[in-house]
Amino acid sequence: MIEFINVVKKYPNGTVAINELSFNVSDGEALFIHGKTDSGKTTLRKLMLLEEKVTSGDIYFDEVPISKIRTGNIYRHRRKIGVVFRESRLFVHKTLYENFLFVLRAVDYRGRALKEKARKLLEFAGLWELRKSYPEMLTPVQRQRAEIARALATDPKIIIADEPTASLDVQGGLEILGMLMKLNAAGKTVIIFTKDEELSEQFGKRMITLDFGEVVSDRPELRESTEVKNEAV
Amino acid sequence: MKKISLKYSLSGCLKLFFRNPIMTLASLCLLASTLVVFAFTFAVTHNIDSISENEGNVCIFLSDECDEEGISAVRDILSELTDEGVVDYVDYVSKSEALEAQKERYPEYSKLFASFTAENSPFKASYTVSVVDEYGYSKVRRAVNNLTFDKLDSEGMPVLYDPIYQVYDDGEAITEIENLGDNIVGVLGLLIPITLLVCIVLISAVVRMGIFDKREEISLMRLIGTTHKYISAQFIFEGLFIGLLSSVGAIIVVRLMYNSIITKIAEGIKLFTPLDFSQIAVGVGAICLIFGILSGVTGSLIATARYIRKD
Repeated sequence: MIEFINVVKKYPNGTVAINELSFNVSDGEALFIHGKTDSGKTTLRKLMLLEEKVTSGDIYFDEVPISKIRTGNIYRHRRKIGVVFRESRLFVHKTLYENFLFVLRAVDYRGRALKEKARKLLEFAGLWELRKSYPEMLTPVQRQRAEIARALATDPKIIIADEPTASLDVQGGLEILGMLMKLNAAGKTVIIFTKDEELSEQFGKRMITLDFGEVVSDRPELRESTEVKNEAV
Repeated sequence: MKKISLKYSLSGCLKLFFRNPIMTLASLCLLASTLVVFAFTFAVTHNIDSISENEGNVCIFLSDECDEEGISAVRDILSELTDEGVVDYVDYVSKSEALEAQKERYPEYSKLFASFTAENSPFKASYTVSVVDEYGYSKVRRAVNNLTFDKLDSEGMPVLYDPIYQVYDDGEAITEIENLGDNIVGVLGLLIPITLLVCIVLISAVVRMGIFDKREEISLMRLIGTTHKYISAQFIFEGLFIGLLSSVGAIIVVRLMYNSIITKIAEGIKLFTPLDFSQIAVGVGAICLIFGILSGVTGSLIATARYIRKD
C-alpha cells in the first residue's frame, strides 16, 4: 500500500508544488491522477521515486516512510517501482535489443539470464521481431510499448506512468493504457499521471484530480470498469 | 553488486578514445612522459648506487716492461697496505685477462679484437685495489708511485725503470657523481609529484567529459534502481585503463631508451659499468604500474565523486 500523509513540497524559490496531500493506494489498484500543467503531477512522481524530498509529511510504501530510506538504499526502493516516461528514453544510438540489455545489465542481470529476460520483455511488448531496429525506426506506440516493457526490468510491484499517452493519438493512447491495465489485471499496482481525463475515464478506474498541488476530487473505481476496459482494448 | 562484465568495460574504454580522442591522448602522453622521467630517475639512482658500492677503487696499471719482479714488488706493497687496514682487497688482472674482459664487454668489436692475442694484448695488466676509506687513495698512490728499479738494459747500461704505467682512482669522480645524482633527485623529486598531480587533474577532466556525455544514461540508470557503485565503476575503470595504458607505454619507452642513454653516460665515466636493464626491470615496472594506475584511478574517483550524484 502507498500512503500519502499531509505531504507538502515547497521548492527553494518558494513555489508550493504539493500542498497537504493525503491519499492512499491499495495493492493491486489502478489509479489515474489527473491534472493540468503545474498541478503537481511530476513533483508527485519525483517524490515517490525519491528524486525530491518532501518538505513535510511523508510517503509510506508498505508502511515504511520513504524519507527514512538511507541514500545507499534508495536504489532498492526504485527497483520496486517501474517508471514509464512521457517521452521515450530509449537511446537512439542503440538498437531496441541493446537498449534492453543495457537496462537489464544495470540492474544486475548477467549472462544467459540477461538475454532471456530481454527476450521475454520484448515478446511481452510484441517487439521481438523488431529487436534490431533503432528507436527512430519505431512508431510512437511501439516506442511506448518498449518503455512499458523496459519498466518491467526489475519485476516491480508498482508501475508509475507519467503521461504515457501524451504524444499519441486516441487509438494509440487506448492501446498503451490497455497494456497498463493488463499489468494491473496481473496484480501490479498501476498509477497513471495524465492530462487526458476523457481517455482515462474510459477505463472507469479510480481517478484523483489535482489542482495546484491539492486533491480536488477522488472518484472511486466504477463497477463497469472491467467491461469498459475490455471494449477499449 | 554483481561484477561488471570485463568485456563490457573494455568496450566502454575503447569508446572513450573515440568520444574524446584529443583529451584522452593528452592525458595518456603526459602521464606516460611523467612515468618515463620517474623510471629514469630510478634507473639513474640505482646506477649511481652501484658505483658507490664499488667505491674506493684504485686501479694500478702496470707498464709493458713490468716483469715478474715488478709484479711481485707491487703485490708486496699492496699486501702491506692490506695488513695496515688501508686496503680491503686486491685483484690482479693480467694482460690476457684484460683482453678477454674487453672482448666480452664490446662484442661488436670482435673483429678488431680477433687480431690480438695474450702475447700482443694492447691492454695493460693491472691491480684493482679497494680502499677502506677516502684516505686510502693517497696512501696507495704514495706507496706505488715511489716504486722504481735499477736495471740493466740490453746494452748493459743501468736504467731506472718504473713498473707502474698509471694510477687511477675514482674517488673524486664518485663523489661528484653522487652529488650530481642527489641534485637530480632533488629537482625531479619536486617536479614529478607536481606533474603527477597535473596528470590526475587531466584524467579527472577526461572522465568528467565522459560523465557529461553519458548523463542521459546515468539519469536513467539512477531511476531504474542501479547502484551508485555500478554507475561509478564504469568511469573508474576508464581511469584505470588510461593509467594502465600509460604505464605500459612508459615501460616500453624506458626499455627501448635505457641502453642508449646509460651507455652514453657510461662513456663519460671511466670504470663505470652500467647496470643491465634486467637488474632494474622490476623496479621500473613497479614504479610505472603503481603510479600509473594510482593516478588513473585517483583522477576518475575525483570526477565520479564530484559529478555523479549519490542521490
